[in-house]
Amino acid sequence: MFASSVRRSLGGLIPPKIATPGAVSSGGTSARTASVIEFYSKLPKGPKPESERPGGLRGRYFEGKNASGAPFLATILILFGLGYTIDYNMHLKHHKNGHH
Amino acid sequence: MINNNFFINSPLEQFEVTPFIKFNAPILGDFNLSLTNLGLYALITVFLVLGLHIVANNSHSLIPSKWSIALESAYASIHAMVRDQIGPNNEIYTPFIYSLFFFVVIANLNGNIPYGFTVTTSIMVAIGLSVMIFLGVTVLGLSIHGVHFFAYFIPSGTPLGLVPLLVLIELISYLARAVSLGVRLFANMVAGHTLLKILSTFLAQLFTASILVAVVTLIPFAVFVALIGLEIAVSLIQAYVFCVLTCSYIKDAIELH
Amino acid sequence: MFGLRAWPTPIVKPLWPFMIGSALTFAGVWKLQNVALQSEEARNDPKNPFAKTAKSGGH
Repeated sequence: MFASSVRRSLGGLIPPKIATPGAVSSGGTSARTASVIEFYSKLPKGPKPESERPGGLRGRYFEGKNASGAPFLATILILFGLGYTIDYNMHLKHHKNGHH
Repeated sequence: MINNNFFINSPLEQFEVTPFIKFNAPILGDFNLSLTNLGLYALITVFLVLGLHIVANNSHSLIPSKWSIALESAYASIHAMVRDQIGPNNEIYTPFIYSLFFFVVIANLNGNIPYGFTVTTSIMVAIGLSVMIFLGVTVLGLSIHGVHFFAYFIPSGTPLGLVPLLVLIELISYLARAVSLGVRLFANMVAGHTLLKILSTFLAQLFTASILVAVVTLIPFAVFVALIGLEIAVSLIQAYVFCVLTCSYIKDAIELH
Repeated sequence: MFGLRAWPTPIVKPLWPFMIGSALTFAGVWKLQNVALQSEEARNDPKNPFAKTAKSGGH
């Protein structure tokens, strides 16, 4: 009882809001909602065909289910390596002949 | 030859701009082109920002990838910020604020990677950006309001006797914006990076002292890790604050109070 | 390009004041740099690419 009343009062905030033509428009299906429904009904259904998916690194690490934080870590590691190489070489230069 | 910086341990040394490649070109008088670590890291930042937006693009799918959703959320946040600060009629400035935010935030986060260089700890970059924004905002205000723009310096309802004093105060506070915006970003980044450098040098010495000391050092090391987290938060917050203030300056130029 | 759609966002219209601003900033920095390079303490600094004195070895 309590849960349902809370749920009703917070209904506008809690995510699962299912948009039916009736809920979105005020009574009946307006022409605008109908056109939206028509637009979406014409779109292709199901997952993208294999031939249209991007391949390569992007397909492997960024798209759909493959999206992961791996590129993030790789970027950090590459920049760390670059920074270390630069730092090492700059200091090596400074100390090479025993004086600055 | 005795040199006092034979063992370079200064925590401020990380902010030094050093050229990798020097190139003296006899064009335009004496023209010196050099690729410094500042230039390299600025290029890396631009590359990362562009690369992120290319690779995390929605690619015409109805359901975006997680990377794409992250970018959409960033866009939505900045769009909301521009709407709140400059007003819904001036959403034309969203791309400017968006690119400003991404440049500053990626530059700041890039600087948190050890051995890296933070572009925004260079006073030239930070102050240069803020002076550029300040001059741009002034030009914008002058072009919209003309001479009436100077009414900005006289608060409404001022008695005539106080006008010279108030104009002086308002003018100084207006001019201070050019510096304060950049100094805020620069000082926060420099302070955090210096602190981390000092602490990490100290902790490294403790860790290599003896096994017992190294075990005990794990406690301050935990604090150090927390400070790294704080530094990442500062990177994000400073980029956000920079953009919010840029928005409010643009709003002031458009609306004159 | 890169699979991105062309999006007709105005570029010059919101950005022209900032373009003027960046041009002025660039000119100011250019002048400041030239003045600073001639200053007393920078003139003979080994880091100055236009220093007249021979550079110290080791670099």
